Amino acid sequence: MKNQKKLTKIFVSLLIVLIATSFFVTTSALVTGQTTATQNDTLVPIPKKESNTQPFDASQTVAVQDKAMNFMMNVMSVDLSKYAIELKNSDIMDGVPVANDDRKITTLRYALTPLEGNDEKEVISVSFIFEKDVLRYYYTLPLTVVVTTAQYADRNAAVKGFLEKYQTYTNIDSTNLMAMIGDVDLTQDSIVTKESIRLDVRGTDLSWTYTVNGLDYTKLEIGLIGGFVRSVRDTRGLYTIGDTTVNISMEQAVDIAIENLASYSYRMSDGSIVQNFKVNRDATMPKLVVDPFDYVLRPYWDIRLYLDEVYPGNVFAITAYIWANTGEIISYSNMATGGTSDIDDINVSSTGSNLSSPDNTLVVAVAAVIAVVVVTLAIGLVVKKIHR
Amino acid sequence: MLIFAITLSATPLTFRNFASAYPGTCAANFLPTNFQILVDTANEYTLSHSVADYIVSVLNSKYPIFDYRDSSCTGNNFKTILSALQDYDTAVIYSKGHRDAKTCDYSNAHYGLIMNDSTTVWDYDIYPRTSSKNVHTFIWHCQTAIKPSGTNPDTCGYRGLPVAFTHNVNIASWSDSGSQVYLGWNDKQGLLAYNFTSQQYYTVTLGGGTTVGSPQYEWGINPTYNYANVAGTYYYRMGQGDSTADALMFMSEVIYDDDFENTDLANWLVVWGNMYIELP
Repeated sequence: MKNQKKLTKIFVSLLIVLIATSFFVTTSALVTGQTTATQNDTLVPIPKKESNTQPFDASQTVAVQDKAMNFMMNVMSVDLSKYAIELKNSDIMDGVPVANDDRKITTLRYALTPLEGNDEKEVISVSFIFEKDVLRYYYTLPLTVVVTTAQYADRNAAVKGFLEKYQTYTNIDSTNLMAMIGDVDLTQDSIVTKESIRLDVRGTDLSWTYTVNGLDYTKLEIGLIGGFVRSVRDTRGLYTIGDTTVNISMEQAVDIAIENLASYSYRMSDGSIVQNFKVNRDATMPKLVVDPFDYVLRPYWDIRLYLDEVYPGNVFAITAYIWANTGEIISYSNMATGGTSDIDDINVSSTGSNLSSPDNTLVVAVAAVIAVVVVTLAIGLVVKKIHR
Repeated sequence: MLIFAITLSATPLTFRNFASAYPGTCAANFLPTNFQILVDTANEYTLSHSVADYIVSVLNSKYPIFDYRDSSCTGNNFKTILSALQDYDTAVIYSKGHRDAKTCDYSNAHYGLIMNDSTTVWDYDIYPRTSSKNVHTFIWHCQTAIKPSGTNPDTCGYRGLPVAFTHNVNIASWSDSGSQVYLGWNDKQGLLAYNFTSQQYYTVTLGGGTTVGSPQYEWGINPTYNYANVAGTYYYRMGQGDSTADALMFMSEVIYDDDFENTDLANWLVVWGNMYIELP
């Protein structure tokens, strides 16, 4: 009996010490990371900047809001009496960030909440992107929700119905596009070209592209869910078509790019100049592409010149842009990667050096608590056995 | 008594992710780029600061922000700030720079971020200093979207930066659930070249077996825009209250004139977690 009391006293003392230790270790592990920063006066965040500018006034976008509502009612054929409509977002981007342009792009985002049912998942997001007051992109999310009241016999009828309403909305003659779908089964993937228009049917996506010399210029694209048009991208009203002449062949373009590369160089942060690049003509990637330049579509050569080695700045290739009509160089641009070392080049074995990290300390603390429980139970059992 | 004591000792563990010293969100912008003089061109250096200025202006209009660049973006500071962010309810992180990689036992790959003092903050260094409070993270370094398969953690610790920053080993890509989103880069696949002699296209092998794990900002997308504009436009939209999905759609439309899936970003820039959540 005396032995049992003595043993119990030792056990209880040991238990208290262990629990206290585990509590201390656990707590200190949790605050380690948090206090390090606050102890160091230099590592404090910049306070939130209080803005002096007024919040964006949605009235600035009233003109395009009218166009968006008109689209929802008369093109999407949404029964607006069945939804609560909220303008969630309205803003004008004044120039692309970190670029030297003056594009002004208006975004509107509406939330359509069904008046029947309270499931938040049913809220439909309808987004519009306008540029120069022209609708260039519209889409709904989630992608699977249909919000139209219009009923059509089949996909062809639905697309034709959309084109008729959309033609009225845009005032852009789309009769040639409508004529193209007459003989095409829009449920099957296909490519049909009539004169200068190419119709692509890919799954539930359709596009009509105005082409010149095999190059794509303006385009109308739509995405469907059943008979509902869930997305529209249209550049016909936004861009004009410039000089479509292609006088420079692929071989000529690559030769021009390589010849002029001799006069291209770039500067490193220490002021040193990198130049004299070596390029193999058979390691180039020339593409003839079309892009807008101040809203005018023009063809140019995009030529990737892969370099014989990686040059300072992680530059592995240089892209040359060349006008397709004149062969004049538009610009050169570095292709560089952020990587530094290949994983295969390094073989570092595990050292277990992070055992002092907070999480490992936590693991040790948890293990200590578990050990206390196990030891307690074990000693308890032994004591009980001895007592018997 | 025993049960009470054990419960008491485990209390800090239980409440670790729920107690915040400060309410609200705190952000961090890291720019450890140019850790060696020949890593970044002068143009890249300038663009990196322009993008950092822009992102900081967007985030700082909403939250306090740690803005650490160049020589102040050391390994120790990076780790300290990651821990300090956990004092808030939620954290928003952006980092631009270069990556390191190595293998631990059994050839398990680990990824790290190289700091300006040339130290590497590994995935297993990051994990203990982060939590599920990191609700929006964009790590613009190479291979930061790679989530290694196999044992996780291994003997070194947690593997892969998506897991290190989110604490979600099972995080799914392009998901519509969860309270976190993480953006990073995969290796770019299939860089094509044309051989005029054989008149065939082929996949080019870059000098020294270099992989393209993320683009530098100065990489031109077309004669008008580069990847600095991709980052800037994405954060512009996030600042306007967009979800990541909406912001990427807008960015693709404005910079590429096309859907995201038709751009060279598809399968290169990866969204882990819930693409439909907005900045807190």
